[in-house]
Amino acid sequence: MGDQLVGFLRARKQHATSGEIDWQAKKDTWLRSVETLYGLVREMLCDSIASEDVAVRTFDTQVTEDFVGTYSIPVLEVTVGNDRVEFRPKGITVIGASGRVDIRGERGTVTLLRNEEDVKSGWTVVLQRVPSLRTAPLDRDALRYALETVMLPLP
Amino acid sequence: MTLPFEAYDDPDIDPVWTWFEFQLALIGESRASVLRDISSGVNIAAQARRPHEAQLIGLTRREVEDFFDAQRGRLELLTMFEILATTEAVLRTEVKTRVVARKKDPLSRRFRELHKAKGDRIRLDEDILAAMKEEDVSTGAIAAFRGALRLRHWLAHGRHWHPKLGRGYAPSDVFDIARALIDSIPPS
Repeated sequence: MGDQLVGFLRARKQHATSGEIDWQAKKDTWLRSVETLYGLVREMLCDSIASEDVAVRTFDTQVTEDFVGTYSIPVLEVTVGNDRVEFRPKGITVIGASGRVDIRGERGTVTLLRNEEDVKSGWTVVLQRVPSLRTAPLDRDALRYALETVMLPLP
Repeated sequence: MTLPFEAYDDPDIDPVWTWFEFQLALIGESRASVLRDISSGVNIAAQARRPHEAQLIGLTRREVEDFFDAQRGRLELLTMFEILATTEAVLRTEVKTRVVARKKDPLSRRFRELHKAKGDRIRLDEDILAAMKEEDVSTGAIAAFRGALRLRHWLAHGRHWHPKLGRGYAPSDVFDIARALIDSIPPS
């Protein structure tokens, strides 16, 4: 029985080692892609930032993920009058995407997914999950949809 | 697929249990498959996934676990409801069979009296279970089933209130309660 246990555990270890993943490289790519995303959002908002309708800033937060560990990553905060929306990175260990950022406001959250295959921005917005998944590439219209969804409606 | 909406003449709780275990295994396999993708670092695109897994795109490990826990929870509730509903069908079929067969045993006589007095308006608890209790069917089995009927009522009406069940129930508890009651029905 003892040998079988050793053999079982060795096989598991070898299986894991054979498909070793460079999580550090994934994390580095992730950090760069988040910076790129924030650059893209700032660019989409540049007119509103210039007219001072919108203010943006970044601050660091800690994210902890399986395999990757704890790391520091910037959050993008967008302020429009009294409304504040945050772009909060969730991480890279997510299903079917190479990363996720949540756009959080007082009314709700919209998910942004990083897709390496996406040739446009590399990011898609989850428009709905139920009854079926619907996404759209991140562009000015999708950003407006996301902000409108997460911000409190005007009285 | 067109479902046959017709009388189910031979109700049985065993197929319900088989169905439950099969569904539970499918949930377990799907959960393992999805979680394996996360730990493998492979990002299978939404388009390449099975349609029912597409809505999981972007979820973290914790969210995936919550999702599958919820799937299992809903399956368990539905299973308990199905077992209790099927047990009612077993009892009502038993009444019908005994009434038609005109057997002389005490329980068959009681059921015939009920049928004569109430026709198709025989109630499960107040009539059938009460008659079974009076004819010395296991009081423990009847009491346990009556308790579980509160669970059925809660499930059947959408769980929109906090139920006073007096105990917790798992599908296996409900199955055992139903089986004990069915097995305690004396032969005609």
